[in-house]
Amino acid sequence: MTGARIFATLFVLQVLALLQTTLPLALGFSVARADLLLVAVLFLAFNAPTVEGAALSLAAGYLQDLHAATPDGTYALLAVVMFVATRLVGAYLHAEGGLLAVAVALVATLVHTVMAAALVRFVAKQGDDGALLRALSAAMPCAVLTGLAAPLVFRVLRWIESRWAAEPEGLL
Amino acid sequence: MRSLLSQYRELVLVLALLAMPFGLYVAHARDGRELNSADKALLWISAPVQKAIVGVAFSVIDAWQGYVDLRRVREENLAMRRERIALKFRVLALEGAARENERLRKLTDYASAPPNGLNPEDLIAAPVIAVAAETHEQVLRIGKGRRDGIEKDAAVVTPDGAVGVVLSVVDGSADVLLMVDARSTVPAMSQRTQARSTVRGIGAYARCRLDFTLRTDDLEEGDVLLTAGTTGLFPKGIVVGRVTGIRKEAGALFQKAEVIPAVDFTKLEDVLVVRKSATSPDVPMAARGASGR
Repeated sequence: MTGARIFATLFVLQVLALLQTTLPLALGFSVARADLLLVAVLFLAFNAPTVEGAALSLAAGYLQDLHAATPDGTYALLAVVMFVATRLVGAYLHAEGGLLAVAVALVATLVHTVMAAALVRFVAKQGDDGALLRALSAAMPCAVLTGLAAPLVFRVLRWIESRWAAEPEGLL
Repeated sequence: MRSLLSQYRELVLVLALLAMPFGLYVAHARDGRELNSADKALLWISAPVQKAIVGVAFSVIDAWQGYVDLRRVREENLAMRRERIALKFRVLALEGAARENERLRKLTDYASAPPNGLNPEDLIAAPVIAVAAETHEQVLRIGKGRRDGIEKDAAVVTPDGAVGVVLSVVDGSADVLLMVDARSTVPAMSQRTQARSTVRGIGAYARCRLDFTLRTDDLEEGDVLLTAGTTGLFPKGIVVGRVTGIRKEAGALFQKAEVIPAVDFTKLEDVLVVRKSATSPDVPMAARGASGR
């Protein structure tokens, strides 16, 4: 059942990527968009087994790279980093959805934005020193939208998780 | 070593999952993205779905927008219709006010400088407040009565001509017998020839009968008839109407004719009551023009 769950999660990640890239256009948002794939990474960090979650986060980051036409590995790296960071913080939190999911998604979006800007600035050596601040201020509406979308994405992924729950080990 | 690896298996794998994109990023960060087969396949799958999602979303939004626009147009239409009705009423009210203004101006002009030797203080302006309860009675009720100086048999006129006489009077109102009522007779004379006759009501608002006009009198179609002032009810020289339908029958002493009243009794709103003291047959009256002024 793990394979089916992973496959279903990958499918949902692709759907989220498609929605993330089309809804802003359809709804007329010029800049702001909900980072649905980031929300999926957060869910995985709270709920999935470590290696499986990290791998699926990598896949989410890959999809983000693909649909954002960014250099290979940009958001894939950030996704795994966000997964690990949230996993560490998650030891103190238990985001089942609702308000906590909203808050976590909101903060994670801002952190994610800062990390992306820092990566581009200091590793790729592109942009200027003000880019970080500009990116952060531009991320505010995105963070709000991501926070609002988080409970819904959590619910969908929770459904997949329960539908293809991991079989208990050692029965036979 | 193997036990160490299995102990830190998760950590190693996660580090590997971190290292892989990091290496890719460092290698390609400045080059941009090179699409491989997997990328192309995913994009090949994604593009039509994205197109469909946006297309459906736009269709829904367009349909909704169309619905909203339709509702707005409908609301605007209703608002404009209401506004049009309100404006129509307003125009009607203004037209009514203009007509009333004109009528009152005419009445005031007449009352302030009455013709035929009457003085302004001889006239009492009164509003028409009711009509007769029966349609075959040509009677109006006016809103002034005895306490305003109105007496029985006082003449009632308008700037257009004779209306009738006061039939009965109480403190606050008076009933006026119109000259078109079958009970009414008004001594008249031709403005053109001074020939005497009597205008008798026949119970119709638009017609009276002309009596006692000698066959030999010169009477023509359209002749203006004035009150003769002989009975002391009407002042002399008030316009009564115009002659029409003259018939001279062989052997008859009098010729027959009809009179079209000068006043439109169906549209009376205000009248002037002439004080009885002013209608003595001795009061000299100058001849009046065809217009009654």
